[in-house]
Formats: sequence, structure tokens, C-alpha cells
Amino acid sequence: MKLALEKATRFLLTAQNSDGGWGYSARSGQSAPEPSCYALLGLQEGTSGSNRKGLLWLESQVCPDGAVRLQGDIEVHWTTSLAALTITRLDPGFLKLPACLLELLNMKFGKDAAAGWAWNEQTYSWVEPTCYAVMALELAGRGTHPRVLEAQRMLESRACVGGGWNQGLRVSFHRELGPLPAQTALAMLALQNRPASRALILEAARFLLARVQDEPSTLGLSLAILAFHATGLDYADLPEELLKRQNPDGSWRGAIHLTALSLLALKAVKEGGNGFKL
Amino acid sequence: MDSSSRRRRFSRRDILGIGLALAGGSGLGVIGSHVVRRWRQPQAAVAIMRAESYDQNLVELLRDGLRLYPDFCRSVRGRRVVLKPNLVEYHSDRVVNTDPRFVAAAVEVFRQLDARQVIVAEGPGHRRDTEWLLEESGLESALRAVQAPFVDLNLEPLFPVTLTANLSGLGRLWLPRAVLDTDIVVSMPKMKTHHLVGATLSMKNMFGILPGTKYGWPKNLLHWRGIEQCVVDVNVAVRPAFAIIDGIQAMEGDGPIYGDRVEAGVIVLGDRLTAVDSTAARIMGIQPGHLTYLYRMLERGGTINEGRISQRAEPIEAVQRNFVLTEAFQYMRKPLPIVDFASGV
Repeated sequence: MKLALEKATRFLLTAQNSDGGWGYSARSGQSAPEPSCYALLGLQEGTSGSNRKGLLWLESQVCPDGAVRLQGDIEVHWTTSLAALTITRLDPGFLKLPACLLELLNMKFGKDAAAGWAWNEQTYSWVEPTCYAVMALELAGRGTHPRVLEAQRMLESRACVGGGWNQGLRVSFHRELGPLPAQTALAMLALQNRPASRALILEAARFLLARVQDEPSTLGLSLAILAFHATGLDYADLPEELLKRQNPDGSWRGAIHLTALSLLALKAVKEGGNGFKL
Repeated sequence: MDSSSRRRRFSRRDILGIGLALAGGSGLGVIGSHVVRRWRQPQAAVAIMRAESYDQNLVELLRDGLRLYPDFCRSVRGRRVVLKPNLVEYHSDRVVNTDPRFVAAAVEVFRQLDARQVIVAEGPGHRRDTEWLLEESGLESALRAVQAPFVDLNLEPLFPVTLTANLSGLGRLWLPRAVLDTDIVVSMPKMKTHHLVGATLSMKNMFGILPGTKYGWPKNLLHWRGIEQCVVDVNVAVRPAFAIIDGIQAMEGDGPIYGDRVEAGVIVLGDRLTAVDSTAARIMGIQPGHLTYLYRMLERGGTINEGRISQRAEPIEAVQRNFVLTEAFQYMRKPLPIVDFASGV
């Protein structure tokens, strides 16, 4: 595993853009918040040159009002949560972090969204952006804020029949929808410290373990390992499965976000550090 | 003047006369509107090809279809082409996506037309996990067999494009580099019914180029701003050059994901997307004027009127079959004679 981790680290460092950030692929050239956050968490070396440069890039994306936006955009981007989580983990003294967390707490959703967070402001709330926001706020010590608690209850209410989560709809057009691995793992992470959710987490874990082993999904597999690790559950031979899928260049499918999440998951298993453990 | 003299001035005959004049005027107005709006629709040509199964020689079939458009074929030479299939979700027992064999055949044909580069690109709007979708759907192995690259449009670098139509009110759309940097975009949808807009064909398929990293999974902001409005916005912004609809196996009922398979045995193609979609809708037994995004394209150079579309290869009647529509869309079967006539549909 040591060699695999080294190769993945080397891949990420080589793929870093000159501005310090990472795109979704090595050839992309345009840095983006999501892969940069995962790369920073995966590399887990807050003071090394590359990571420092990456962190500075991420922090430069936080606007004075605390929001993260696409360059030239006026709308708050859903990665504000991921940026808050990453900065809280790696640089909790960052000057704009309180504004970033406040921006998250004030982010609006559409009229018919019960609670939680949306991909874009003023729209329906979904499982994935809600999980990122809950994790960021809980890690920053705002886990008891009413909006966080409400969002956690929303996650519980949207669990699929039989366990697990999907994008956030139990039923659509009178049809019951089934769970998906990545969203299930993220919801487990967001609810990891909530005793009331334990039964849902155990149910989801059964679904996840049965599903991710055979599925061609690096995203599902890496997030599943992180979720099992954070919730103290047995991840069986999932790490071996993930290792088997590594490319000779050290990446997973040449994708930065998949490589970074895989690195993060394998490091959690080997060294114990888990960027998503709250 | 007393009231009796006023009554005399407007006798029954007078009122009848005025009524007829008004009706005649309205009638002339309707006819005039029809003539103008029909005449404004550019002439288009749409080809309908029969194809019973994916085991046929699809390369030959698609090549024959494309040869009906010699100007377009010439324009492909030396250019970079993006083929945009529909890859949205996978269920082994349903025909949700453009068939991988169909996409691979199109890659070969565009290479034969001397395209400089042929890329297959899509930004799945339902599933975030493109790796899973590519493998399970079989598209990954089909593209590997023809050594064609796939670009996940959800994860591409993004650039804002100002909207000229702006029906959504978004002002601009963030579009992926792979689409903006290409010469020719070809929309390759699956022929399906759709439980929100009636039918999803080549124009609605272009929704898939809008990136999840900006608009989320699902692309919820665009739903809130109006699917039809966003479909018009993205098509006006990108102007796909050609459409090839996979209707060999199509979907009816509760589409675009949970509908039932229908062996429609047809491929519809052409260089004007509104005309291609209108023809496909007619094949499905849907009055195209009911598809709001098509109707709204009338003001933007679209062609819907059957009289303005010359049919190549097979006629519509030879392949027409009424697709099952959900209760909410039964009205799409029936024409709106006066409205359709007046609007040139």
C-alpha cells in the first residue's frame, strides 16, 4: 500500500496547476474548488510547499463575503461548504473562515425545500450539498446550530426504504427510488456523530458493503471506505479492491478528485487520518 | 336622437353584417398569420431511415443517411466533431441511453468523412458517477473498441456564455470547454417520451452539455428556471449542426428513465434540429406544436411546419406509431387546429 500511496501522491503533485489549485483532470488547466479540496485533504501536509500553495489558491477563492464563486460568477457556489471544511481542517485561523461559515448558514434554498442545502441558491435541497455543509459546520464547531440539526433531520427523512440514500428523493412520480453508493456514504459521514441516526447508518452500511465491491465506481468505493472508517464500522476488503483499480501512473482513471479521494481513503485505513472524520 | 331610432340604425341585418365582417377579418388575420409564420420557417430536410436492430450494419446505414446531406458532409472535413449522446442513467431492463453501438458507428462514419477529431462527450444529469454509467451502459467498451475518447462535460473547465435568447432569465450559461472549442456539435439522443416536457429528442438532449459542477446533480437550477426555456437557451447558444436520433429501440410511457421499451425501428437525422424533432414527434404520434421548446424556436429560425420539411428516405407514415403517453400528456395527441394554423405549425 505504501507504494500505491506514494504513486498517488506523486500523481497529484505533478497535476497541480501553476496557480496552486487542481482541475478535475491533469490536462484541465483550470483549477476548481472541489478537486482542490480533495487533493489538499488527500495530501494532508498543511505546511509542505505544494500544499501551502494549494491552500493559498483555495483561500483566494473565498470572496470577502465568505462565499466561493466560479470566477466571474455572481452566484454562491455549492463548493463553499467544501472550502469551509478543508480550510477548517488545514488552516483554522484563516481570516475569512468565520464569514465563510456564516455565508453557509445564510445560504438560501427554494420555497418548497424543507431544509438542508441546495446545489444553487434558491432551489431544492439535495443530499450531497447538504452533507458537505453539515460536515463543514460540524467540524467548525457549529454542529448544534438549528439549521444543521434541521438538515440532519432532513437527511434522515430522505433515507430510502430499505436503507441508504440517493440524490434526495425517496419517491418521484409515484415511484420509489433506490439508494446510490456515493450519496449513501456522504450521508453516513454527515450523520456520523448523531446517535439518533445510528440505526439508519447501520442499515445504509449493509447496502453499501453489498453494493460497492462489485460496482465499477471509484467514487462510491473511496467514499464508502471513508464512511466506514468515520463511523467505526468494518470496511472488510474494500481497500484492497480500491488498490486493484489504481492505474500504473498512480491515478484512479486519471481524475484528480477520484485519485485524491482514493488517497484520502487509503491513508485513513493505513494511518488513521480521515479528512471527513468529525 | 331617441332610442328607437338607434335600434333602427343597428338592425339584425346590420349586426349580422358586422359579425361576419369581424369574423372575416379574424379569419383573414389567421390566414395572414399562417402564411407569414409558415413562410418565415426555413425550408428543411429530414431523413427517416428504417433500422430493425443494432446488429445491422449501422456504419453503412448512418453513412447512407449522412450522404443525403452533402453540404454537411463536406463541412465535416478537417473539423473537430463532438458527438453528444444521451447518457443519463442505466437500468439493464430499460433503454434509457443512446445505444453504445449506435454511438460507436457514428464515430466511424464521421472519421470516414475525414473529421480531424471525433470526441464523444456528455455530462450525465442524473448520476454523478460517470465511471459507473460508462461501464454499466457499455459505452466505455464500445468507445474503446473504436478508440474514441470520452469527455465528461460535467468536469470540464467552464466558461460563461451570454445568452441571446435568455428565456430562462439566467443571462448566461456556463458551458464546458470541450463544447466551446469544437467546430461541429452533433446531438445524438434516444427517442423517448418525457414526463415533464412530453418528449425528449435532439434539442432536449443538449441539456446534457450543461455541467453538473455548476448546476448540480440533478441540474435543478435549470428545472426551476423552466426546462423548455433552458432548452431554447442552450440550443440558441450552442447551435448544434446536426442531429441523429436513435429510435431503433425507443422509450414510451413514463420516460425519460422509467418508461417502457418500444421497437420503433427508426433513425431520424438532419441538419436542422427543430425539423428533426418535429418529424420525430410526428412519428411518435405527438403534435409537435405542443412541445413548448419547439414552438418557442419558431421565433428563432426553427422549422416545424410539415410543409416546410422535405422528407428524405422513408415517409413518416411508413414508420409512424403512437407512443404510449402518460395521462398528463394525452393532450399532445390532438392538434389545436386554429392555434396551430395561425402560428404556422
